[in-house]
Amino acid sequence: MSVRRILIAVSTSRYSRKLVGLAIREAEQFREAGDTVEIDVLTVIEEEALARAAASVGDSGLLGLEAQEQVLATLGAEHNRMARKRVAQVEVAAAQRGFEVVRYEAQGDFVDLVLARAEALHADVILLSRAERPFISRILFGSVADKVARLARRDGLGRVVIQDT
Amino acid sequence: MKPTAFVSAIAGPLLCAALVLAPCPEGLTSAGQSALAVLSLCVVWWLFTPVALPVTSLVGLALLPVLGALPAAEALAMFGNQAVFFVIGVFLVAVVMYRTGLSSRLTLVGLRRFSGSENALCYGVMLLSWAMCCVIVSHAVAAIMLPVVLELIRTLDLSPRSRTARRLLLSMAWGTVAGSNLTLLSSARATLALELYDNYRSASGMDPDPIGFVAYMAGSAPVSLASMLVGLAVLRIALPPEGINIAPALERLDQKVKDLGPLSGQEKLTGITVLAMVATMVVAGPSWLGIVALVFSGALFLFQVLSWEDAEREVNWGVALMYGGAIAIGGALYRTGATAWLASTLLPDQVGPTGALLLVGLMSAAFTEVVSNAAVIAVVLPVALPLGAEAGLDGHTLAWTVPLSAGFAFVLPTSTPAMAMVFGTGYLRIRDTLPGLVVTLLSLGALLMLSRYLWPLLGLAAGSHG
Repeated sequence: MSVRRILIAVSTSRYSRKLVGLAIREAEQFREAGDTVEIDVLTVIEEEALARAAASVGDSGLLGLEAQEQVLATLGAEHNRMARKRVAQVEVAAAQRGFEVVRYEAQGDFVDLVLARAEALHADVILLSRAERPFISRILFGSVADKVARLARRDGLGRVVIQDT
Repeated sequence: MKPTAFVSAIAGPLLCAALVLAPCPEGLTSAGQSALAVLSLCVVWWLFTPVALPVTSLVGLALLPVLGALPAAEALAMFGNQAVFFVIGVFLVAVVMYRTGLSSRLTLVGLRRFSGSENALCYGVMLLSWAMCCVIVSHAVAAIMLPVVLELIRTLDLSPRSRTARRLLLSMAWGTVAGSNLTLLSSARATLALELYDNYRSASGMDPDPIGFVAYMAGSAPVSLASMLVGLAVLRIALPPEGINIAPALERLDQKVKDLGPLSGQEKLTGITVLAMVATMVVAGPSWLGIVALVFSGALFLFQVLSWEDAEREVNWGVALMYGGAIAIGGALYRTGATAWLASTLLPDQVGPTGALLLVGLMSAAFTEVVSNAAVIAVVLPVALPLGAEAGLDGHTLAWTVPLSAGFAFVLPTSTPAMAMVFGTGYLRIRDTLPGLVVTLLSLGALLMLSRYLWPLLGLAAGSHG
């Protein structure tokens, strides 16, 4: 019997309820195989996106520092609130099936933080959500989830499962 | 530095150098060629922002005499125009309204009055965001409204996929976007446009015919109202009500209004000063706008409702550099005849006044989605005015059309700070930009209709559409 770790990586704009269901299904498969399962939830506050929005108030809105700081604080508080809410949803769903949940919050770049956490945990599965878009759009404009999958595969960091929302 | 910014940092000067060194085309003076070279650098840098927008303006200003477009004294003299001082006044008013809490009071009391149902709450957010832009610059209104709207969303415990949450956020953003076209105090770009238009008339040997506070508002407010109403309707259809109980939000609003307490002396003084400033602008006429703004800004400091420390922190003083530089560059383009040559070269023969107006409107609305709307004015208007004259279009019509269509920033998060803020909340996705495209196109349609039928009726423009 071994310990299997499932990493769910979410941020304010990268989450779906289907992801929670997927995590539970993955966890049940491991349990049926006789393994112990730990579900890790990584919540990323994408500070670069928040800082970009706040900076636009100064750069093109030509308002001063206080307005920029206020916008950054308001957006940050909202993202933190959403993060807590989402982790709570995972915890409730996992507790109903008897799985343990470990939560972890970080600020920074989504891709870097997910890869670092997956490596630190030796995650068996990394679960991500992705906004459903045409394939050509993802090729042209890129997809963060696809980037995580590509780099995780390159670095041997576990199986990446992407849930389209 | 991002790769695009790095490439543009090099491409801008290279393009500028290439234009200066190229053989001078027939009909264009060498000073005009230099002015166009400066414009090309500014367009690239304003678009990809390797440096802040005001820095680009300053570099452009410095290059005008260096490349021989204008003598140094003439270029620098154009920097000190009244539009710069008016814009400073506009931003100081926004700061004092925010600092004294008067803007928060107006927001909360107004919102509570409008809100009776889910639909009414959304309508109220948009209407109030729009109306506040009457006297407060629209970006500041967005910054004031954002925490209020997020608190409503929190109180109602709405999820990020909630239609009501997205509708509330877009109502706030679109309200301020539509409101930015309301009066001269709603945004700085209209003042920039009017100053460039005055420079154009003077460089073209036309009699001065400045557009004042009331005249501008008579032309802009109906367009702004039409945009706001279109926005209301589109959001109602695209994000219909979810039937949620808004009682907790109303209780929260009631509590917040109660917490405000009675109107303070500072709020009263601010309200009276701002109203007096607007009344004086109406009475004093267009050539006094900058002076009125300066006098009343001084009064705000004198009455102790605003301190210099607050003004230093809360106004981005780059605004003066941005607008001063942009006006000087625009003036150089007129004086050297560069834009007249460009317009006669670019405009196809078969384009009539309506076609030219549509072209200019579409171009401004498209640019504003990716570039600061002040930069759109600085780039589009100097070319549009001679282009319009070539097509037989009244200059007054363009003095409204370009700033108004540059204000139709309803689509992308890059278009304006209000849109960046609401997309920054994480509630909106790229597919939520589609309704904004509909609002932009319908607003442009309303602008064309009003410019054709209403403005001539009000005596604002000649209405020489074909």
